[in-house]
Amino acid sequence: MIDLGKCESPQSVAEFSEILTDAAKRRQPRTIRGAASKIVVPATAADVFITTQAYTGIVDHQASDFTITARAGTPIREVIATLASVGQCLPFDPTYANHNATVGGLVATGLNGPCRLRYGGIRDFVIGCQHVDGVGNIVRSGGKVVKNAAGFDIPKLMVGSGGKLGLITEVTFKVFPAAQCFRTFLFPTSNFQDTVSLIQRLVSIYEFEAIEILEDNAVVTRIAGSTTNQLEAVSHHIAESLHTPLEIVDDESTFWTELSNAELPSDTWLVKVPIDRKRIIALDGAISDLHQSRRYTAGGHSCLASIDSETALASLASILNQQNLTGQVVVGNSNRYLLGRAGEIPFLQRIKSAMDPHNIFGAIDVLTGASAP
Amino acid sequence: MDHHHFADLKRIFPQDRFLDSDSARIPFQSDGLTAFVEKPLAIVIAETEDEIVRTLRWCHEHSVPFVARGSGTSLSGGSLPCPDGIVIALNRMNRILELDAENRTARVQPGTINSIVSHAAQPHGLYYAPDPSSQQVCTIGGNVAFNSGGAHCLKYGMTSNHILGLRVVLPDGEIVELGGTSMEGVGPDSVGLFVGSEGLFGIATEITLRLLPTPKAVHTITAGYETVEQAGDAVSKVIESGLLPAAMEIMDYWAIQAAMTAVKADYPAGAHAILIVELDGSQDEIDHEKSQLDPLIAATNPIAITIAKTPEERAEIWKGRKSAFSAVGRVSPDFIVQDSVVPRTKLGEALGQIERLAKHAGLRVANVFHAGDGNLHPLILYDGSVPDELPRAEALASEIVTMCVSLGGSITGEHGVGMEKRHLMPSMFSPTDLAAMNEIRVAIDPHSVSNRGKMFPGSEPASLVQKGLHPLEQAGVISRE
Repeated sequence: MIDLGKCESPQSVAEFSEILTDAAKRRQPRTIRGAASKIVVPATAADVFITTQAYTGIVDHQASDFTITARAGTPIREVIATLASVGQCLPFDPTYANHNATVGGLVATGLNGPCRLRYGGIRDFVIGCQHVDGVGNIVRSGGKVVKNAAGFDIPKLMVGSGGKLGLITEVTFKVFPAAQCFRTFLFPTSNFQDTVSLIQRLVSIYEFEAIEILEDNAVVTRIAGSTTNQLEAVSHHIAESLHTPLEIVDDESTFWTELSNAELPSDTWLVKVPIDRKRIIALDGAISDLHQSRRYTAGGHSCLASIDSETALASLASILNQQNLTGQVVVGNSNRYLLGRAGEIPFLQRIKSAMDPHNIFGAIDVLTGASAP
Repeated sequence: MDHHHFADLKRIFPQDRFLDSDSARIPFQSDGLTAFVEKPLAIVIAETEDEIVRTLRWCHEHSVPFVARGSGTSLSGGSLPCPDGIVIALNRMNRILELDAENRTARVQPGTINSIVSHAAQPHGLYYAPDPSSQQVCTIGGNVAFNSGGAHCLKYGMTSNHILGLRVVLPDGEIVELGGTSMEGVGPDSVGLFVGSEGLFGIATEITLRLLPTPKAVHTITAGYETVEQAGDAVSKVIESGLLPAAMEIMDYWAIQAAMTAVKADYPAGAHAILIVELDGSQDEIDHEKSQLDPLIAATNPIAITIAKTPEERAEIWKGRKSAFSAVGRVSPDFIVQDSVVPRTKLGEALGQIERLAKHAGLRVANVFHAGDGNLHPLILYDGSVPDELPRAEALASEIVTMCVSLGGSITGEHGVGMEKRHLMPSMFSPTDLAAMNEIRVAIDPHSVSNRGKMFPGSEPASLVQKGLHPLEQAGVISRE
């Protein structure tokens, strides 16, 4: 059982601001937590936590304008349900909704679901944000309209920020119409090289909602449409282009829900590593040498490695450093954040010095690995 | 400027790439927002990253402001020279360094022309989606600085949704690498912060772009209406149907007249509003979506409908739309371009208000707008030779922007704040919000040399003179969004 430590649970933005203003005066760090659906920081005696779980509610849903605003502690499944009731969705396919993931945690972790492939990730759909910074200022950025070029794009900066730059209190998303019907195909393959070649062919044939590589190298794809007739036509096109019959996955909704809410064994971390299809084979070989399991999402643009020991984590960091890649711990009982090269650190440190000058939200932790330069 | 220190700057560049004569400085004293004029101390024409690093170190050391400039097409004065500053011209850094068709990326230098990227990608069945109307001339570096939009933002997003990685020289000369070659990212989205930072965070010397597969099929429909309200209602019906068009544009009466006069656009006679809707995607998708769209548009009682049957007909439809800004120069000696946003559902109300405000001011306003995302471009027509018309036009401009913000919108959808709208920032952001942004700015640029005087409210610029159409617009080389 993880000790969750002492935890403050404000119910208003003013309270968050008061707490953080006081924390800054005392130089007393705070660790931010949503519902602990993904990252659970094990408490030490010195840790003080602050959670957004009591700060909930959908503030505004302009269905005709395709925007929705919610407080950070709002369970993401509530946002999904509200949107679904009017035929809308969050196009980046939120993860861990079934584990009470919150709006703030979703944005701070930046973990997209498989169907981000078609229209984009969280960062492409966050249009406005309110956060409390490391000295207690309440700051608004972006706006509530889908097109806005005023001011610095701090809403995007907060995506993947891991609670290190500010405490997100409210987010406005752009949303899209939801598809009505889906179909999922499975493509078993013999080896990873074949898998990568298959994906190259698939992306040239059609714009899939999702293309995933499973742990056994099989490829799973998803298509979407308004009617089953439309799906039939698309299926026919794909089969003809590949010169192969298609294996349809039954109960595909459950398949994708389970993938987006995959539980890990305790003491395992899920590390996200952005990659491209040219470098994927080298990365895969290195992870395979560590005897760790992994899958790939977003058409091979994101590796999700399941790492089961501190030693393996350090080794992965080393590999990433050598291959000029950066990873982020996105699920697990850890206060680890980034791994590997992290070449953006000089830029991020400047930003952090502005947003959190007294390190109230903790340092931007980078594990460079056993054989760091 | 201390002559000795200036000599140090001069040593970085050969003579033909260091310009400080009077005649050389004049072409750089304005950009697309010709109302503002500011002569730079000098222009340096960079050809290498090393020259940029050394120049920025010099600027940082001597606290001399600089502005990076591509083709100078900014409509907000973003590339206007800073007072007592230099211009760093980037047009010679215009190479596509790498085009990776397999990964669907292109790594380019900042002076690369926007449309050149798509031309280079076309043989691979790819293209670069952000399409500002000045794309034949504007540069990727400028697009990144101002998060440029275009007619197809509705479905494909703005520049920020298409930048994967940046190599940046920060204002003190430090080089940082942000992002990479993947569609995914980890850690805080620093690429997202840099795009749209209006040149305040230094200079991107290499930019990795995301390329998209060229849509296999396109369906472009033009409908003429008796009123703008009817066109707006049609847009609402399209949105409510669940369709996601690639673009939805509306032009009103004066914009239509201008386009017909200037480029002989073939729009339905008697139309007081034109709606353009474009679908793109696979043939299957188009076949399905147009079977929804076409009857829907027909049911909105247009006076005429045209469906483009060939790429040439499609090009003509867009030529009329994209020429609209420049074209109003034919029906009015002078005009002010605006770039406000309202929530899409408030478009009708905003247009009604604009009409009322314009009548009260005794001025005409042509409206061109991205109907799908609520981004308005009111074009306030006036005659600068009539004594009080410029002040009245400026007052009207201010009232329109204030009205749009009061409806929940933004002061700028895609042109950026630059010089033109910095005094309006407090209408959108509190003093705390602006201070937070400024803290970030100063942390990255301690001496505030990078495009000093832009984006944040400050004192008025040295010179405000209305010049009419930009020379490139007069020549028909570029048109505005």
